Parts: sequence; C-alpha cells; structure tokens
Amino acid sequence: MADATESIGILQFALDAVVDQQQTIANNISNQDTPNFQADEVTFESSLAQALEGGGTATVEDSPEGLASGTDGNNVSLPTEMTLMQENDLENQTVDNALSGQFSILSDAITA
Amino acid sequence: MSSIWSGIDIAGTGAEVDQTWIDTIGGNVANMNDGVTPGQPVYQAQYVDAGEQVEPPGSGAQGAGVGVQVDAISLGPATGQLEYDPTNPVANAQGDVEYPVVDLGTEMTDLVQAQTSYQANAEVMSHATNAYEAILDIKA
Repeated sequence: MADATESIGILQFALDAVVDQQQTIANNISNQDTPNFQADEVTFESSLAQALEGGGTATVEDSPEGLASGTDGNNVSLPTEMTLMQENDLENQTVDNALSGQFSILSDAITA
Repeated sequence: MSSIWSGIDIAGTGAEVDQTWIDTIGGNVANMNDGVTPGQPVYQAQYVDAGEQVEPPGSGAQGAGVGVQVDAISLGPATGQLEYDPTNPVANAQGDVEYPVVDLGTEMTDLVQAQTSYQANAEVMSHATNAYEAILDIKA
C-alpha cells in the first residue's frame, strides 16, 4: 500500500505522461494534411501498471502509430485522434482529481 | 518555441497553415477567369506545401513534433489553356484567349479539407485549454 507522498509521485508521472500524450495528439492533428507525415502515439499505461504490480520504473513510450498511409504518404486518422483526445481528457481529469484528493489527505493530516 | 501551453501552440500552427491554405484557394478561384492574350503572363495557381515542425537540435526534446508550417508556396503551370473566344477584347488574331490552369473541383474539395482541418485544430485548442485549466485547479 502506497503512502500519500508515494501516490503523489506516481500521479505526477501519470500527469507528465498525459500532457506528453496531449501534445503528440495535437501534433498529429495539426499535420493531418502534411505529405508523408507519420502519426506518433504516446503510451505509458501498461508500463505504469507493470511497475505498480511488479516494481521497477515506469516509462513513457513514444512510437509510430503505424496505421496505413493514404496516397500522399500521410497516415493521420482524424477519428482516431479525436477519440484519443477524448480519452486523454478523461485521463487528465482523473489524475488531477486524484492529486487533489491526495493533497487534501495530506492537508487533513497536517491540520488534524 | 515550446512553452508550457504547447498543446495550444501546436494547434495554432495548424490553424495558421489552414488559413494560408484557404487564402490561396480564395486567390485561385478569384483569378480562374483572368483571361489574357496568349503569350502574355497568365495567373499561376498557388499551392501550399506543408511540412512538419520539429524541435531543433540542441533543444530539450530534439526531434519532437511541435506542429506544422508552410514550407513553400508552389505555383501551377505558367502556360494557361487556350479557349476560342474571338469576341473577347483580349483575343489574339486566331481568336484565342489564354486562361489560368485552375480546376474548380480540386479547389472546392481542398477548401472542404482545409475547413475540416481548421475545425479540428480549433477543437484541439479548446480541449488543451480545458486540460490546462484542470491542472491549474489541482489543490488540497
């Protein structure tokens, strides 16, 4: 069982990763009409789950999305990116709420 | 040029390129009927060449994508298409007038694409703003 400061560290990692993810999605969408542009994706969820279960350090992975390219060599799929953006929004809110929760626990402990 | 609000900046570069794209389409359509005497300089259609913007070497996240930019404006053919119109005041002795090579169908589909892209970038801006606001709202 993680204590409050440990949890804050984990949530901080998750928040950094979520912000990274959002920038990558923004970059993919801004390049949706750029010839030969290949979309990237940022993943950290499985690495974080693994680290939490078996120990070790979680990493943020930046890799090509690898979807099929159109005739101009571009493989950005707007529906995919929009979906990822919605998921990213919710993840961001979840992490922010959890962080606020951890901070109020700390604050309660301090003022108790 | 990366800032803490990168998500908004990146979408901004996208909207800017889309705006240039829409401007060139406007210019192409507005000038598609600019007939000239054959041999005179004729309007050349303008096309936007977009390229990815990446963090320069030496910066923190070298090679990371930070949006899109207009690399260049390419021009369409310098020689137009001839049309027989002897009553036109600019027609030559053979009765031909030279018109720019602009395909209205292509311009219109490009316009729809540019508009969709602009909307998507605007959407990213509002999502990114919400996300940053949520982060700023973290408190005990």
